Amino acid sequence: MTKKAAVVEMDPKQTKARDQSEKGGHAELDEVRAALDAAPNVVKELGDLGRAALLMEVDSFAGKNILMREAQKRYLAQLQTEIEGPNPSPLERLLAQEVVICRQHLASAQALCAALHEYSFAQAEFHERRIERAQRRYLAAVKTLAQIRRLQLPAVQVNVAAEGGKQINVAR
Amino acid sequence: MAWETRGGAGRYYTRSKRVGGRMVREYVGTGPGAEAEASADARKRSQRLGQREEWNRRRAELEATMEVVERFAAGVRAFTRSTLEASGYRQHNRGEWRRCVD
Repeated sequence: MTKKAAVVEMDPKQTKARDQSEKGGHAELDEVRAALDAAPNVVKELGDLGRAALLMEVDSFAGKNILMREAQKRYLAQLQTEIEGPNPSPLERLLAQEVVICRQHLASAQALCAALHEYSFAQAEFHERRIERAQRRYLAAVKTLAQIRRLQLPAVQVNVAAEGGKQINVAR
Repeated sequence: MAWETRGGAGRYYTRSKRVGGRMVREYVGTGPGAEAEASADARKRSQRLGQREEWNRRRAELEATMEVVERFAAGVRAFTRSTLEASGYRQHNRGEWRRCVD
């Protein structure tokens, strides 16, 4: 098939879908970012709650070991910066924070369970359940962040009906 | 665990234990041997109580941490949902988010 043959008859429905999709790319993202910037309280409150959760997790993991606690805090701050990437939106920042917290929560639950020597049936069940929930939450957080990043990309898909009844899908 | 007196004939040290789902009282005896058994039992009891209290305290701590993490996660989830809905997305069958095309 030549390039010429691929040039295109788009039906009105497809044209409308493409236009809306393009319109929803950068412009709408900017709108959402502006709305989030205008409502900093929600972001701030959630961020504070996240910081409190992270500190509790670190304390629970490191106990009275000050060196471990400080090292953990620095490592997690660095990890969050890496996950956020350059120019994160407030939502991305919150989701990156959630990923870090859930990761620490999972690590802490696993370490605590591994360190147990003597435990009752009820205690073993409690730790097992805690690990399962932490795993679920961690995976959900990673998935949501990935989904948000994917949706925010200005992805435009054009479906074109080419000559001869074949369909060409172009994503850019 | 208890000391019992039967018919005014001294004090017997007894301990109760579960055997095959039923409580059975074992008569340990009297005198210095029974005193030693009683104090050993009291030590074990207090050790078990200490361990149980320590576990309850630790569990309460872990649950409090878990609760804060869950509150945060729920907040982020709600925030994510409202942001996506405001951007014209709808969740399809509680899974993938798709842009609404009118």
